[in-house]
Amino acid sequence: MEKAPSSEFDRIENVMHSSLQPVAPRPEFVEGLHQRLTDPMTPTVRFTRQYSSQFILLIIATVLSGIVFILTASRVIISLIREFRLTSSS
Amino acid sequence: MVRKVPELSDEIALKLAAQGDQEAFGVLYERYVGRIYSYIYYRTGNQHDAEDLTARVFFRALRHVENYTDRGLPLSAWLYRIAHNLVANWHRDNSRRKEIPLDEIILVRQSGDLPEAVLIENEEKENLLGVIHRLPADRQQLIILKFVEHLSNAEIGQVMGRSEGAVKSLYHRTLLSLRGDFDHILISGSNDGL
Repeated sequence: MEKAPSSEFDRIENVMHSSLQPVAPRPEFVEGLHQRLTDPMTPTVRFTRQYSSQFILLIIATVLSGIVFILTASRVIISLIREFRLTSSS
Repeated sequence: MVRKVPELSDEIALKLAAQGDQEAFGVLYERYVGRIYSYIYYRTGNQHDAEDLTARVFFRALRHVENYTDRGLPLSAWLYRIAHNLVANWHRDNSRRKEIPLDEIILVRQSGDLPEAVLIENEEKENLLGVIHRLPADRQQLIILKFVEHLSNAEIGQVMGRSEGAVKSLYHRTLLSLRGDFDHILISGSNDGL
């Protein structure tokens, strides 16, 4: 590992110690958020496990129906092309 | 207004909060909001996003407090981890470089200082923060936890999910990488002062 004189590190640390001071949040913000967190009347959205499983089922159903739709549409297109070829050859 | 935070240990307050006691959660909130806000403020560089993300940290903690299990980690480490993840998402969503009003972060003028000296000092601090913001996320996190939050290497390790030795090693590498930038900061500061 590369070495550096400890005095150099001390100097960097001193600058950071003096420059990086904690920043306090605005009291109005702290108070307002405290109320929002602890007020039982504050509306919160909670996704229950049941809701999540319903959502996953809905996604699966959507994907499956999408696949069925694509297959059906491609079969229709293929049959139309075949019919067009038959009529044009006759 | 500074409210007195009741003397309730983190463990007891957590248990009560997990049972739905919002007052107990409020106690924890008051105990940690300043530290979490300060951490996020240095990571984002502006008050608006710091407030928004701080609120999200505590709402997420409130939602998951009943699932919180004590794995030997202090509550503060859990909160810092939530904050770190949210800040990481925030940086990803705001891939454009945000303008950082550094002057808001730093400048606490000592009464009696000469204005020129204050200006030079402020410029050095601005440059320093610019340098820190250019560091990789894990190194920024380490520097802020060490110098703003005054955590020990062991505590930083708990937050970052690394061993104390790994934190020391990362810190050493960070100081080495900062060396050249610091020379530039201090030299430009002293040149400006001439």
